[in-house]
Amino acid sequence: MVNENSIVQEKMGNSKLYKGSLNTIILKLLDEEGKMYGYEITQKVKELSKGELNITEGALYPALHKLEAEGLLDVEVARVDNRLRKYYKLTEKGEKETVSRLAELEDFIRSMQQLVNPKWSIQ
Amino acid sequence: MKITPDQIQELFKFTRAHYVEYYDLQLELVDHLANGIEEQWQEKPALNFEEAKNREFKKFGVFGFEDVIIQRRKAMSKRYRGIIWRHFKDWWSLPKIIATLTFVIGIFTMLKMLPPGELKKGIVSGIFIGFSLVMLFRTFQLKKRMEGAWRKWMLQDIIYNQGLLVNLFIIPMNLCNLTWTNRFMDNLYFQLVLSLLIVSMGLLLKICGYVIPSKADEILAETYPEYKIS
Repeated sequence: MVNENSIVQEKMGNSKLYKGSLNTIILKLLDEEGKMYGYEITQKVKELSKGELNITEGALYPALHKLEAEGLLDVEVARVDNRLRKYYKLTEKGEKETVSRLAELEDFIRSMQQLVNPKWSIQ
Repeated sequence: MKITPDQIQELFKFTRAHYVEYYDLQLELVDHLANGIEEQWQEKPALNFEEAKNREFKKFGVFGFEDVIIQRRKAMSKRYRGIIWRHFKDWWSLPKIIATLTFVIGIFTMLKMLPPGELKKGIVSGIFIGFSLVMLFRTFQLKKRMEGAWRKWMLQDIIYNQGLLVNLFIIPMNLCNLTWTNRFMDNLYFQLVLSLLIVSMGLLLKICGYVIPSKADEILAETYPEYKIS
């Protein structure tokens, strides 16, 4: 029988690689989707990464609250079914920050690719 | 299958039992747990509410909501510092600039005119002790306002909980009591720095203890869209 905790652990271990990029992932998702709520973000990331990446709840909300305190996200509340739901969306500052963080991430990926898979050439 | 209103109340109780005392955070966590439970019911409709709730809670890790609460407080404290800074900048309109400068000059003149010796130090320490007492009294007053409140908001708690600022007033008070400061007490530059420090602290006391708490409702409504709805 597969232990349920071990699955969570395995995924958390895997997600360590993504930890530094969590904020950028959130900003990018909000840039594409307009506004999202916490649970929706976790599900969307799972769906896009085909279950490979699991943003843990304990990491998601602190990241959202930090981005909100930095003025990158704005909050909207709506009544859905029988409860209130908090939606996050990018502020103007957040939109600019998303562009710069994505460019930074792309640079990082390019550098990593060069380091991991260098193309040697004799000149 | 959808969560019932009673189960939503059950989830609010559950978050409170796990030390989430602020409504702003409870609201978000309740919606998250409810979504997770409903998702589980789609796959396993026979699963009972308690079990589904515990499974969802486990996803927050061994420390439960603790990390979310700690990080939320950090984020809110940062926002609070931003509010103080905003009010500090707004303070500098012309009549207030004149009033503040008058205070600086008044204290500076007093320090200059007082005879050298322990009296000068005693008066400066007395001013800081006075500030701390006003702060403590104000904290007590504001805390009373929160008592029995139906819903607690984290930012409101930070705004009303002025006790920590007392530590800030004790630092310059201790500086004054250090013996090495004796030879500086009659130095004009040191007196000017002390005058500026006293007025800055007084201004901080005014902003944190009176101006911001008096606008608490407005600030909370601006921070929490749910403040007006709920």
